[in-house]
Amino acid sequence: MTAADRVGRSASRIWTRGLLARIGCYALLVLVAVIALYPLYLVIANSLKSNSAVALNPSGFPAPPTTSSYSQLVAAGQLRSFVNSLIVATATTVGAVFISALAGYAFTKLRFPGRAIIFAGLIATIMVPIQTAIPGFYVEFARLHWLNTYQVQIVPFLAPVFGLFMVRQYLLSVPDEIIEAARMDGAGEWSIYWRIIVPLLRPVLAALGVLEFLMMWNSFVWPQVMADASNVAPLPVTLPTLTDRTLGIVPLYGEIMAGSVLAIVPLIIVFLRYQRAFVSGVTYGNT
Amino acid sequence: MGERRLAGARAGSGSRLIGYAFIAPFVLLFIGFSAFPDVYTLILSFQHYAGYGTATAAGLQNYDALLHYPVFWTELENTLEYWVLHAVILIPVAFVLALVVRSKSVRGKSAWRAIIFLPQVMSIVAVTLAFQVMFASPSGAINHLLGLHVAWLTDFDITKWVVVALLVWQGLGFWFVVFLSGLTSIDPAVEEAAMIDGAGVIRRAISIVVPLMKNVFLFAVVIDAITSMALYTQPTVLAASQGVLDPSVAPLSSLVVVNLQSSSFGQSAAAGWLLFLLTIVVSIAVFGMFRLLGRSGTARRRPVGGRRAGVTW
Amino acid sequence: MAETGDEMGRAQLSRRSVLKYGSIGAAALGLAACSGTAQSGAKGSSGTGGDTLTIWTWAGASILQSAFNAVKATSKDFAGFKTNIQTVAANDYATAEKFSLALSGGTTLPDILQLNYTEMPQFAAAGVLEELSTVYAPYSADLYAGALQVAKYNNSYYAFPESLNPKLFYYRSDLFAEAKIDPTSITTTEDFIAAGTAFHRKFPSQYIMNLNTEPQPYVFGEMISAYAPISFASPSGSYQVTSNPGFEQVFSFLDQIASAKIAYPVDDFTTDWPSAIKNEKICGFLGADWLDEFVPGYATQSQYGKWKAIPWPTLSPMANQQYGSDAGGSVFVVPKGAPNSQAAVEFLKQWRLSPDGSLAAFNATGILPINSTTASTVISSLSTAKKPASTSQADWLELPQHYFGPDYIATKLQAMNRVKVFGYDPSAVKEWSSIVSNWLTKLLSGRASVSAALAGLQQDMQTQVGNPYSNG
Repeated sequence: MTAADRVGRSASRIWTRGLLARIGCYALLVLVAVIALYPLYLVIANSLKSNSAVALNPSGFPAPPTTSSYSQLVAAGQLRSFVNSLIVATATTVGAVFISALAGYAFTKLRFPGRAIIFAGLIATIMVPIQTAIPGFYVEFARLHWLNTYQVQIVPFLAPVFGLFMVRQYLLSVPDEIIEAARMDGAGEWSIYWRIIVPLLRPVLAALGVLEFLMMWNSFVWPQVMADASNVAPLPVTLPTLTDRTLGIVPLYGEIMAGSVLAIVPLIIVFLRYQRAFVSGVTYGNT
Repeated sequence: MGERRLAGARAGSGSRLIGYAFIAPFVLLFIGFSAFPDVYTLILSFQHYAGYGTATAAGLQNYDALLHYPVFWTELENTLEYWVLHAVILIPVAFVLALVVRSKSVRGKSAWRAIIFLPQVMSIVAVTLAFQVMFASPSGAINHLLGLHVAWLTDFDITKWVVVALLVWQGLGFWFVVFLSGLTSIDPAVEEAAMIDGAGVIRRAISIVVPLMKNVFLFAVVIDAITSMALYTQPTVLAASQGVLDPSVAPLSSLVVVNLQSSSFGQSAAAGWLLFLLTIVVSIAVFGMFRLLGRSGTARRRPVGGRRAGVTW
Repeated sequence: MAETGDEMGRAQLSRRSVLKYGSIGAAALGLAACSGTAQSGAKGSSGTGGDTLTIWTWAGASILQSAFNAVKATSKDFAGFKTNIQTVAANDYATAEKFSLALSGGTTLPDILQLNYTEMPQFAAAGVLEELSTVYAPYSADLYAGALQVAKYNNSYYAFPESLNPKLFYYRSDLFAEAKIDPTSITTTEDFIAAGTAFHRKFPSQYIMNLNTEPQPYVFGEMISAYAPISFASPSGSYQVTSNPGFEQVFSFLDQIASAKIAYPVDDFTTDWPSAIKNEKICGFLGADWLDEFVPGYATQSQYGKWKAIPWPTLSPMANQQYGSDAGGSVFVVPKGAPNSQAAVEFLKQWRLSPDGSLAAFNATGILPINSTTASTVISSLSTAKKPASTSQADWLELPQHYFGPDYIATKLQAMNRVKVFGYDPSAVKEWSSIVSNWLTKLLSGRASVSAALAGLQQDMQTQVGNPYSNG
């Protein structure tokens, strides 16, 4: 009896409870899928009801579906909030990727005095949560007159230390010889960077881009403190404030869910297209 | 050899300036928008400042006031609870899910992967608002569906569990993917050897996967811990009424924001730095725990049969 | 670990898409540079010809505009005046925050700032508001005593009251009659609890008031203000929550209400509050006059004519609860260094202090004057007013003077004489919104006894605020 036979034999022994195990597995997966997708269903279904219909019947199917919540959402100026989110997230992502890549390459492959110390200093701050420096930031931005602007939402996030880290980790496994060879051929540093390094960095830059975009798309406490004026505030800040127009207090859940669809669905569509980058990004390039 | 050294030296002196030029945007931004505010906040934490007028020196009064404030300790406790509870539920569930999805008896792996990962992509605030619709009382979706009258979001002992549920729901994709990649990177030969020796699926997985994945696992736990210490969005959006979140469900970050809003910049700064301190302590604790577990794990690993099958690790 | 670009498949960023996104990013930054500041104060006018007064508020901008136009017409001194009314935030304390921000950022200050009285002391104490004692001198005799209190901090005048909020007990007269409860005969706290119990027994799903575990702090404020002059700390800055018996009495009463379960378990301004009013669960309010802006709208036509308002029961052994107010009311202040501060002071004087101006504003907007001499004019003009063609019958009937019966305005004006104001200090915002609300919740949810809650209140204020009169 060969090893393969033995494996086969024990394999079938293990799987005699096979059918039960299979049913169990699928049952678990279906349960998890329902739980994972239920909030998505809820958001979409409730966005197709009017505000009062959501209060009466929050869990059921819209009957009949109506787009009144969407039109009210637009009338309340929330498209602007969506655009604000988009502008902030896109600008920050592009900037952060450029700047982190450049610096990450330099810290890994270029030599200059103080390189190690500076790098260590940067990495040391990775654990400082953004909330810690909020009072200091607030005063700084008050003096700069940057409160309630786009720049206050973008600029502080253009130099993410974890981005530096990700690029460096990736570049450590790239051999120096390529760069040395290019240098000996007389290529300038800048063109080495653009022609050789950046193409190599594509995977980690995609991952970093996704991570940065998701972070900025989700940011809540920062814009709430620094930029909650309606012409610059992003969706996460404005959605919870949609309350009854005349008498206040009561949240307009139909509109809120319609706004949530705006916040959720476009990203899902992009995710379905670029799954690898998303997965890699969310786990900091580790998978 | 000599040429190589010369070339290296030449490249070195040229690239020194380039090096500084390349890191300049990052470092300048960092100094202006990370280092400076951090330091300034530290200074503020030793002052009384209302956001306008003059700042007066306060020594350690802000820290003293916070450490004597029962609300500080309650919120600290809440923050730790949210972290531990959600991690303790989430990690085993994600592990089992990864096992299941990877196993031979499951088809359509990529579809399942996409579904389980989907929550990671969904806007945190939008999902929290959906949970609000789900758990509102009396007219929330869950109460409506199951005919219940539970005060999910107003009875604070229950509210904490809703927050934990939300965190588990949101975090599942992250951990699932971490475990799945760890599981799929294992050499099948090692696994077969263990199978021959009769180790069951779960035993196999734990004894083989966990030690091999230790670093990735540690990394994930640390990231999760750091993010959990800074928790603010989910409890606030879920359970604040009229902009005020009751301290019995609030995380520590709330103190930073609340103090800022009531013009106590010094206390807000002190709260922020205590939060940072907490993050460091927790990270060290996590590293320490892994050290400990690693050592005891080595002793336990031998009986699984790796030695007999000739596999060492 | 490094996967090559090929493995990442279509997730690569091509050079072209990098450029495309790069240009979007650049455009965004360009947009950002142009967007400038959002709502932080428009510049004042050049000062030649007319004055444009910038007013910051959080709600009711159109009402303020109508009032402004009406007041402007009362004197040719204001002929060149214009106004720029900005809704800068969603509520009063966010407005105060915006103002703090403008102070610290050195941006243009508004000429007129609307606040709730609770937010005024912090700015008055910091010396950033125009002092108004000379302005008030000719008018003080004519104003309600409560109005004068709301205008002052530490014995100096800093504010013009926008409204005065006396306490009123609103109740469903029809249901009370059916339950054979005469609200005017309730005098002690025990009477009140007994009435509440009897009412709930008669109508098992209905209550004479509402109170849950997270009330707005003014629920406490309305009761403690009856003890005025009183404040959390003595003038020297030491907190007296555990030593002054008034706090203990109010906490005890609230505790009794919670234990006796005579209150519908929903708090004001929560999402279930409006429907509770509509569904007749809440049949009474120990509240303040601003409720007349909300109750008709929530209760709607079906409860028209059934609600009445009378002064609070005295509720002994507490201090006479007919007196007091909800946080004073909202005020207008003029920041020092505003572009048109002097013009603003003159205008506000006409608007709120002079009988002509305040009557003109009243005729245009319904905001009641704070001059006691105007009371009879107000009553007669309201009783003879005709429904304008543009107003629907339903909206007309929902106006307070119709909804609550013909005596309502007279009752309300009478109640202005009984306004007393709690002594808010510069740390009022922190004291009330964090510390008081926290211990109120603990008390009402049974997690702290009255004495524990008072001790906690005292302790937290001492450690978190220190001396409220001397902090930066």
